[in-house]
Amino acid sequence: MPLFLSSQAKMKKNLRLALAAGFFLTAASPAYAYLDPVSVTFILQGIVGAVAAVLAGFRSVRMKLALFFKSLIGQKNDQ
Amino acid sequence: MISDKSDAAIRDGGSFRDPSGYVFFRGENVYRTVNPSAEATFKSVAKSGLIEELAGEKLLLPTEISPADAGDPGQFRGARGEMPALVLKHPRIPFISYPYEWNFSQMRDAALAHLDLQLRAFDRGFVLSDATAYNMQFYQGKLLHIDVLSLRPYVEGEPWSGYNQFCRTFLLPLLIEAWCGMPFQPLMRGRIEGISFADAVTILPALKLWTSLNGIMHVALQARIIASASSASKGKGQTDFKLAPARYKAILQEMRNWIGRLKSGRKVSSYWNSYAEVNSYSNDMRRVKEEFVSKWAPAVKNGVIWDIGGNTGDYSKCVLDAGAEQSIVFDSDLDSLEKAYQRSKQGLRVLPLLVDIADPSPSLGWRQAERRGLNERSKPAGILALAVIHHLAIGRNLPFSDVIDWFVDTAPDGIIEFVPKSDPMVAQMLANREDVFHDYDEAHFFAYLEARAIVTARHRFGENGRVVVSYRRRV
Repeated sequence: MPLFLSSQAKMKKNLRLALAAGFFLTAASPAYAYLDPVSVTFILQGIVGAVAAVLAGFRSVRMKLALFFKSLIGQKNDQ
Repeated sequence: MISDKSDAAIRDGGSFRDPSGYVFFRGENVYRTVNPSAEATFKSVAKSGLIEELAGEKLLLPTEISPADAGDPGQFRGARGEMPALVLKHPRIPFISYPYEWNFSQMRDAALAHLDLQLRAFDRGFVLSDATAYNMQFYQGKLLHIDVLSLRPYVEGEPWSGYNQFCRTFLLPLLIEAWCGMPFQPLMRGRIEGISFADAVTILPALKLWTSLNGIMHVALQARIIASASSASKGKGQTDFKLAPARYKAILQEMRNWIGRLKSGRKVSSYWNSYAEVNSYSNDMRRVKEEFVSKWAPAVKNGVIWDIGGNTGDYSKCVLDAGAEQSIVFDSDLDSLEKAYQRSKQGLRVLPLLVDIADPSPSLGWRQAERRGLNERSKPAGILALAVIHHLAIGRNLPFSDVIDWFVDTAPDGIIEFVPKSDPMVAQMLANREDVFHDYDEAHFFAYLEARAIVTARHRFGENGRVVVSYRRRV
């Protein structure tokens, strides 16, 4: 069942990212002026990238469905 | 930068941060050095053909490698004493503008062009090492990336290194105007590194921020991470993190989709936007003024002009129709500038910029040379100052002679319209204040102007006493 295992692994990864997001939203620690803000935002890209990939997936499915229904309507009109 | 007529190569004051290479001016030519530390990277980008491809798509400034006229590389020693491995040449951009001079649409288009370039490069296996809005410039009506040395091969798993910078210099300014209706330019001008996340989350409406998935991810979370970052977490974030290529691209693509949907939330109620309809002169007068400008226009053929208080660029069009290369339209009204920008997208060679001539963009950054003030940046071939003099001399209390001196100092040729106190527009300005402008009259106008320049043509409008003149600066 490689597909199932892969989905499970993905879910675990997303859960880790969600927990990380929760941590960043709730944790309060002192700010350090010497820290480069760029480096600390790298890890955020894991969360942002995961969500963006899901959104891109939805967009692609929506577009395919729209094209499918468009072609159906087109076929009906041709008849 | 104002061109140096000498043969010496001068490094651009804003070119020092990235040790990969630096920008130099020599006469009218613009060169970019590639230092030994960046040679291999640059050669791999150049070998791929990506530079020509992006330049062909009007996303990147054209680049000539090892031009014949570059001469001795020793003249291009870098900010850290580097001897260049390669010298490149770029076409000269007639006028360098900065993001705090752009309106919302210009900023959004710059962000989209930047993302388009990144997506195109990513598909070819390359990325940008930074993402500052200052690397985008208007050239021949298009927004181009000007720093070819920002391109480098993509290393699988690496995160988007310019993400934070992109947000500070593109996304946050756009969100502030889109969600708060507040112009972003003063904030942007106040911080050379871009708007800080701490400031942005204070300004942005919480409801908007926390009900937008993109807002939560790109702004709220990022602000939180920066605020709570400790030195202990530094190593982990930087070295261990891997981002899958599909996710890297998805971030760019989704950011593009989001920014493409943003609209300015500023209230459009501009008086100046409909100035052409509400001002104190008739259609006949406007037509005569257009003819006057058109007759003068050959004096600045092929040159760049500045249109001070140029509104939507109507009079600039007369000069451009006669062959001027470009008109930089300065105005402090964002709605008029938006109209002018839309006209530029339809082919009119205007570059509309948010500049208040009484408080122009200053020199900023390291040694006050990183971003050049308006007067240090370039000089136009000609100037249009139509119906603007009363706003400066009366509206802003600037000495009348100083205003005329500034026009003549700025451009050797120009047109100035004198608006007398009897004009309804000036009468309105003086209605609720003491008239302390004792030398603001036609006699002093000509006395001040003729002390510095020759009046080459003049026309008096009978209906409101306005006078429009063209001048040529005395040698």
